[in-house]
Amino acid sequence: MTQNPNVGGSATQKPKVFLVDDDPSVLRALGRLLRTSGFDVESFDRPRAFLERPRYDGPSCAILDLRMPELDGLALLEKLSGAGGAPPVIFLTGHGDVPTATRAMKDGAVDFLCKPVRAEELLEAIERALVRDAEHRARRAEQEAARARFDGLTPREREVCQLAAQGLGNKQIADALGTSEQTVKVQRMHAMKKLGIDSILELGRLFDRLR
Amino acid sequence: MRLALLCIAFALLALLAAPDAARAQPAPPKSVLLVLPEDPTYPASAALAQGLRSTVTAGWTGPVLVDVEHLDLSWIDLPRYQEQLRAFYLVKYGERRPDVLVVCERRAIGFLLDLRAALWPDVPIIFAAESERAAAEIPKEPRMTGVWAQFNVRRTVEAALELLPEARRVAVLSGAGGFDASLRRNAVAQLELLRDRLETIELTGLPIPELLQEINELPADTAVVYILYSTDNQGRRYTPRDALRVLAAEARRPIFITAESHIGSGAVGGALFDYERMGRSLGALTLRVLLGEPVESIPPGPLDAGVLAFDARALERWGIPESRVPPGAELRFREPSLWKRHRELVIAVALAGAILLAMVLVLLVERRHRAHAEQEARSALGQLAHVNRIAAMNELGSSIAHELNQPLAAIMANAEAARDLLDRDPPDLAEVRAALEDIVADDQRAGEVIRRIRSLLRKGEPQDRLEELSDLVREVARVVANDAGLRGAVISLELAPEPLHVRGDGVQLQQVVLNLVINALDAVSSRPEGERRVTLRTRELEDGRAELSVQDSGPGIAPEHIAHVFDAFFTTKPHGLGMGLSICRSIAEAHWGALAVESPPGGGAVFRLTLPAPT
Repeated sequence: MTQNPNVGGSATQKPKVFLVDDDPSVLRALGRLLRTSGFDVESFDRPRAFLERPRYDGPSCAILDLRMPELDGLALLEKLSGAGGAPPVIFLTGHGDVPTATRAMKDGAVDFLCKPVRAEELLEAIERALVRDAEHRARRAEQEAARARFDGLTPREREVCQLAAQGLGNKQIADALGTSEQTVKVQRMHAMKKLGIDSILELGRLFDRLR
Repeated sequence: MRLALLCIAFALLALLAAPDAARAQPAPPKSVLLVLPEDPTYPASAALAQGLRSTVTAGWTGPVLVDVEHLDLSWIDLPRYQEQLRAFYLVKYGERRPDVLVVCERRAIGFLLDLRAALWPDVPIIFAAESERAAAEIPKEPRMTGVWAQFNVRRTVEAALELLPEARRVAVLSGAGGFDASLRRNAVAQLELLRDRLETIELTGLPIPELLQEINELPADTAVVYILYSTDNQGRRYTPRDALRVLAAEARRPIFITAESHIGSGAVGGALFDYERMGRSLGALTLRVLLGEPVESIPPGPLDAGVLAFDARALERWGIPESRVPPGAELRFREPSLWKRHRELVIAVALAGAILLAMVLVLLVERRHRAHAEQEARSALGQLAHVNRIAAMNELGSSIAHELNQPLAAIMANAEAARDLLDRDPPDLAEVRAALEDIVADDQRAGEVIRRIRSLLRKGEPQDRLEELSDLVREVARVVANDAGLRGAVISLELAPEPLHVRGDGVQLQQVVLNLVINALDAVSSRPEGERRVTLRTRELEDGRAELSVQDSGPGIAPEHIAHVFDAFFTTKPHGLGMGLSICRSIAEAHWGALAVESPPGGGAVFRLTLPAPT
């Protein structure tokens, strides 16, 4: 297993794998395997301890045991998704059944693997999860940049942009805001310049991202 | 036809009327005079007199007298005696007139014929001669009939030859008296017919000591036949039966006889002439004559010897097997068996024994049946219990799989990590070692899980072992611990500090515990997390029984359900079969224990398994 794990991350930073399993021996063994494979591993024998951990911004994914006392894997996934910015999740289970797997995938799990799992299978799943994580993080970065730019607009410019993104013409916007069509045109041009976009199409996409 | 019926009716009426008519007339007293040659107390004389008297008195409706006179001719064989005797009887019977005269033995017959001619010329005589030869010598006179005895000496000797197959000679014993001689002649004449097979030796009239000596010096192949011995050649008189008794006791040979009156005195037996039967025949003839039948119309005839009979005691004395006794012969004086002597007691004891035996048999059979039924029930219970265990395990299935897959997953991960670590340059051997050590530990853990499951699923003949209840409970708790954890339930154990021994099948007992715990876990699932508690307690009751209680913090059992929880197919679970508790109770009962439930209001259910202390 000499795969390059640095998918979507910087060359110097190892991707992080969060392991959550109530069984200490499984935790130790998987930890050993993943570390050997070049990952930074952080283990949790209690699901709640993982939830309480501050959000990690680097490339990462989580491997969750499906059946755990206290909080099972699906419930944990739900809580993670709710919190936002959670790493992609791979489920590991000792006893898989189709309904549980289906639900897990619908809820956004990257993969659903059965114990005992081959390292190859697990690393492939981790790779896919990290790709997804990279995408997530990239989109998040764009979003944040767009948000920052959006925040630089004047309140009137923001209003004009919002209405323009809804497909309204300058005349309609002016009517809606109670100003002249010319004023709207100028404000819109300034806003486009501040946001770094050229077309009204791009403006719509930006708003989608911000939403 | 009608006429014939009428005739028969009249005839019957006449017959019925006849006794009344006889009774109506004054009954004429009848008199019978029996003249015997010898002492009437001699067995033969007594038997004959008795036979005659009983027949006549029974057959005659009116009064009848049987007078007996005996002449003692055998021992006073003098002409003067007979003359004096005749004179005496002329006086004694001058005024009396018997209706019938009955007389025995040739010389007595001659004497009586003479007397009749003087006293009662027209009175009929019925005689009994000692042999056909003697009968032939009787003077032919009117108003006379009779019988002659057929002493079957030949038949006696032939029977003797069957009992003593080696015999080639026959010794004929007799006394010196006239009657003795008469009978001896008859015997010898009969034995003439057997001379091809037997040599006949006559031992006649010798005094008893000499006679005994002669008998004991006879060749070994000699059969001895006693004819009659009433007088020896010295004039000494004997009761023939007593003489026989002495001879039979002293002789070193078995002695055969020809008269009924001689059996029982030590002789072996033979074809026995029965004097009583002779007396009855004479009685019958007497009745016919008394009833008016002309005596001339009754022809004289022979009277057969009675039966072939043997004395079992004598046979035993001489070592003669009873199997040699000819068919049809009587075997008398057989040693009364225990049966004969204590018949009632034997019956009672035998009956009691039989009843006892029958009861024992019945009990044994019942015991067998019960053991068989018990075995079958146990076997059926075993089968059912096994299915239930599998079902219970199935319920635990995902939990068990989880529990097994955890160590397997760890092993896999460790093994692959170790391989990667070895590929490194330089290899991280310390970490490889750590991985391998973890593999060993996880493998052991997996093996332990499998062992516990197998022990719970074990199928086979029910065992009967000494088990420790708390240990059984602890094992089950370990199996379900993971499942309980996943369900968010806490199982707590409060086990007796001292060992609680019980007898039985550990697997089945654990199954009861497992069922109860799974039920308890199901019961607490409706409670919020943190309030799902199952408590297993073991303790020794005051009477020595062991008790396991399984208490849950669930909602309890509805009052309308509590009576049915042990019924087969009763369940409140959506997927339950409803067999678990029913089987548990059966298992408890098969262990002479009990399974009970209580559900106090406001609390969870408590199941109590009680088992007797091992004896």
